[in-house]
Amino acid sequence: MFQRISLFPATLILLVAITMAWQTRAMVSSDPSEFVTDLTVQAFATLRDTSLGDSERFAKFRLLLSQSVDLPRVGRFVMGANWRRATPAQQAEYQSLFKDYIIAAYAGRLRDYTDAAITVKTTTPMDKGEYLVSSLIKRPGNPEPIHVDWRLREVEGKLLVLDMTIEGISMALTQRSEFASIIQQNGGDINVLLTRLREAAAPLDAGEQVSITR
Amino acid sequence: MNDLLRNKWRAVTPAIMGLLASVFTTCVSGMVLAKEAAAGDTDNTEVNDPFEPMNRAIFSFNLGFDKVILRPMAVGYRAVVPAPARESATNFLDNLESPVIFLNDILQGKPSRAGATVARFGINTIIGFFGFFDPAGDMGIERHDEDFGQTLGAWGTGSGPYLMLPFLGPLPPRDTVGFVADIFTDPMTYILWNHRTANLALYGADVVDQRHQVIDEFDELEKSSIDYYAAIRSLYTQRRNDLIRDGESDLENMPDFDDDGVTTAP
Repeated sequence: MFQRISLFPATLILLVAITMAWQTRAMVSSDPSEFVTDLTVQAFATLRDTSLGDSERFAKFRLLLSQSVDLPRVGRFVMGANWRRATPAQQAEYQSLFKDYIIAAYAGRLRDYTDAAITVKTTTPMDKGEYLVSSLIKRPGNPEPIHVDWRLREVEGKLLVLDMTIEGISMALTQRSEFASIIQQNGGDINVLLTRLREAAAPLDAGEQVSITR
Repeated sequence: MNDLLRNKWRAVTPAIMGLLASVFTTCVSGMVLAKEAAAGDTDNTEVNDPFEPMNRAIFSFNLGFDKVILRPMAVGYRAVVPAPARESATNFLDNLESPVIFLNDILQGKPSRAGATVARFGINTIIGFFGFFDPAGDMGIERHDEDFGQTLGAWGTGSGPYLMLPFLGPLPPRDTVGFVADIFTDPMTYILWNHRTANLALYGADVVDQRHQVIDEFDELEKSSIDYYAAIRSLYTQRRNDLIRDGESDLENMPDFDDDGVTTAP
């Protein structure tokens, strides 16, 4: 009898705990500021996790990023006007290569900050369900914090990263400019871009880009 | 990676100034040529690079110079000199820049930033042992960057066509004018006018100091770039615009991620 009564509050507590945990989860994914803090903390922790081998670390980082970045949209944006010129086969191959490439690029950019602390300054709502989250990343032993802006968009109730701007330098814009340039330099040949992307993504398969050791 | 783009090369001997004067003339004519192309070039996605073949050739040359001379010097400096000493050297060189920063704060009509520059200079020169330490930064008066190229930008001058200069790196006309103006408005230029060795030593120290701060960043960038020249060009343009805005996010000119290059916008 005693046991039966005590079971009720225990169940209730468990239920409340689950509900709260669920709500916290929902809050994390819908609040832009927490989303950014969460993502960077996880990314930094992954990149400096010495308990993982290079390939495991890379796999974990890749999973985190592919869940948090709107890769198809960013890929199309970065391709610019050349997207329409590409054949469906080229488009498909491009998107697959771009995914590897951008994950390597993010890993490379973030690797310098793995021991850093992030503080969100402001969150500015914009059109199309987008947010600009302005953050400061402070590295130990370096007095000057780095200003990083995160461009987010809510897609079907889920926040996704569109761009990362470090000290005014947007990754997406820089890549867009590079991709347009390499195609233009080669007489409009989109295959040259694909070849370059394949080369850039190659060391990634070996987990080289996400290794901690330089 | 931004510090290298700051163009704070300052102490230049009169001999080099002669060279600069000729470059300057070229740039001004280039600026006139490309004036219409430069109209409204605040858009980061627009590339204004009519001299691209020449710029690419000079970029390759600069890259070679960097690989053989500059980067090894910076790497050696980082390996030999301990971090606190390097930091002090950076502080010292930054502090020497204060007069130019102050002047441009004033020219841009920013009295509170000008006040911060004066306070930093006073505190760091006196309490910070001639600028070797940065007590002002510890007090929360953080360093900020200004130069005459930024002032021209703040006044509404477009950068003009992208221009790569031998040894000096990216310097479109607006920033070349700024670069020359910075030299002539820097008290150190006159203090060291008749001391060529000291002048060159200071110039060299400044270059190595700045290069060593961005060794890893540029290595990483070169490794992950699809087109390194285009990456540097985009980076330079975006970074200069950011400095002109004093680091404020540019909410008005955000790229449109639904734009696949064939927009019907007017």
